[in-house]
Amino acid sequence: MNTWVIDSMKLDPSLCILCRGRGWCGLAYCPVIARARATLRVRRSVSSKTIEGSTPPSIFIGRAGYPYVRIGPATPPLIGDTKIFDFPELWITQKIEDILEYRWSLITGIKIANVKKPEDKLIDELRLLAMSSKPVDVEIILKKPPRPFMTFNEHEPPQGPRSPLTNMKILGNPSIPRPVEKAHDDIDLPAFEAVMHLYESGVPVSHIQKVFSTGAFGVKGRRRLVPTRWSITAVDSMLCRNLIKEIKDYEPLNEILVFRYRLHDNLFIAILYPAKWSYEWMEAWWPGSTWNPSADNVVIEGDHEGYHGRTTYPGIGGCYYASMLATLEYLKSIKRQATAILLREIYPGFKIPVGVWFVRESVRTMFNSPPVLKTDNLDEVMELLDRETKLGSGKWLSSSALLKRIKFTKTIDEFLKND
Amino acid sequence: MPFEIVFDGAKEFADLIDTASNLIDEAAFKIAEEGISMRAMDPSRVVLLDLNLPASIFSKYDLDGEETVGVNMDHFKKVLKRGKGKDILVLRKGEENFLEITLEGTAKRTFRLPLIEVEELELDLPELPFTVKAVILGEVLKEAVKDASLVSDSIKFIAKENEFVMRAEGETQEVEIKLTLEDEGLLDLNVEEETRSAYGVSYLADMAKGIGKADEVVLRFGNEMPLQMDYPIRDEGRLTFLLAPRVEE
Repeated sequence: MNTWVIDSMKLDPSLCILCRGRGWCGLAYCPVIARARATLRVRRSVSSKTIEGSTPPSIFIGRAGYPYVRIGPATPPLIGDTKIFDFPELWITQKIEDILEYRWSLITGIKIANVKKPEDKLIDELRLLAMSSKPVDVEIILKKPPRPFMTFNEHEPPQGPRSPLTNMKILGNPSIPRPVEKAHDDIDLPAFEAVMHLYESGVPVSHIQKVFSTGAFGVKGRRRLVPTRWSITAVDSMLCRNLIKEIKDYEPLNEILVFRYRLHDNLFIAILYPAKWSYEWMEAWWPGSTWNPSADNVVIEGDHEGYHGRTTYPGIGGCYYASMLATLEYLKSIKRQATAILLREIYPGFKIPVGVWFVRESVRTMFNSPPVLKTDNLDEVMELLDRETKLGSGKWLSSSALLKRIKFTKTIDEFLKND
Repeated sequence: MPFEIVFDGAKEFADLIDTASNLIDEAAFKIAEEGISMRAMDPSRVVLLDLNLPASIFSKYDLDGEETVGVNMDHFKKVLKRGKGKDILVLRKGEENFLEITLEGTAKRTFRLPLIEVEELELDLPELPFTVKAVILGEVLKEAVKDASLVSDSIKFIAKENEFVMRAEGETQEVEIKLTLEDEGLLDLNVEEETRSAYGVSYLADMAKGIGKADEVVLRFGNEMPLQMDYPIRDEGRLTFLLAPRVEE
């Protein structure tokens, strides 16, 4: 395994890919993030202690120190329709610079809270904001003017300046969709079912995640604040679990479909194979891309599950479920099941981690266009991989458990025919 | 058509259904004069299961005409797992579309499981030209599968005269499990010609899960041919798996 050296510590790039800034390398800061941060400008610094603005809505629930975590409202110092500042479903058509600008102009006021006691005035108000489907005017009073401060990680959208919160006032009227309000008021409805119900009512996934993180759902007494980062994957994986059940009732596809999408130095490929449900998500990080600071090795990581699912958390992280959700949505729309193999190549130009939404929305966009290949012949898929990917079919084949299974495992049917 | 079937040893029956449920979601059990049979294919169509439980292994076997009952294997498994080793298992069906499962121990506990429509797999087991027959202990197979899964997702079976080898090769690591007739784990070996074939480790792991350590497992395979694995249930009964091979990469 290739290693790289920073501050005379050796880092294993495959560790960085799995860790993504959670500090597994043992450094007090993440060199990957620090480098990215240093190359970026501070967009805005604010010198007042009172921030008035329309929150998109945006709220923050941290995870450091769990169960005592930092929480608080966030708003840009702007009044008006700020919805796009915290609405990943709309970001896929935007430039990365714009998305970073939205994120970094959100100023967050922070307090410490116990996740197990989601009942106090500030949390109630945060919940009210999160439940709103439209921006809400707020006044945030901070202990001191916010310092420019930026965070990045693959799981959570980047964040702007923060400062300890003195007080928050809601000036406008939150506009709460009926299904959201009903799910919150129902103290006998398990959180899982609340999430399903909202999704089926058409509430955007990012909105469900936001509300979910404020401990708005679940049976009375079991409601918890959920750190933003965990909430995103919790909701994705719950929705997946339910959708898998649904699509298993459908017949498998009758031919191989291949989809492709390129965006911001990322390549996505989906191979839907005519067999029962199985799933694989693989990422190949080029040297110099976000989570691979090594000099010359492409690092490939991935996880997969068979028909009966998995019992452990996929090491690759939240992207696994974000991409699976988008894939399942497509399968449901065509009323088929399939063995789905999703590949992603990340090239050196993609240095800024923007969040797990990027994977979900990219894969959704990919499935909105017709397939680039329909075939019965796996060899044609291999040719396409040679043409479209930088890694080539051989390397992808040897890294992918499901591609190997499809290519190298015969089926019993082949032996029945011979007789 | 109603039936009432009694099996002494709820735990043993539960293990059987547990093993099958690793590979299939639902199953159609055919309840006939001769006994209970079930044939199914896993979702990826790589493994075929064939279960045969003759009437003689049951302590009571009453039925009023042949019948096929479809069950959700996961639900069936969970109910059976509630049984203890010495419990007596009673499977009963009346005119209604329910399977009654009674576990008789210190109390009589009866579950009612709704029956579901399951398409029966209409095919005959293929007659395959196997060149190797090996009888090994369940424990050996179970451990070999665990060893192999450390290094690779496929395992090679290689048989020569008086030698049976299981080998897995990863990118950097290898493992080899060698058996001769001198070893306790190999009970019998017939080799017509030197034979090699490879199989997926995860499928083998699912197949081996429910096997008892002391069970005698019969393996049959041929060059790039499926692996047939039989294991006996109360001498006369039999669970057979047919696992399609992996072709060399």
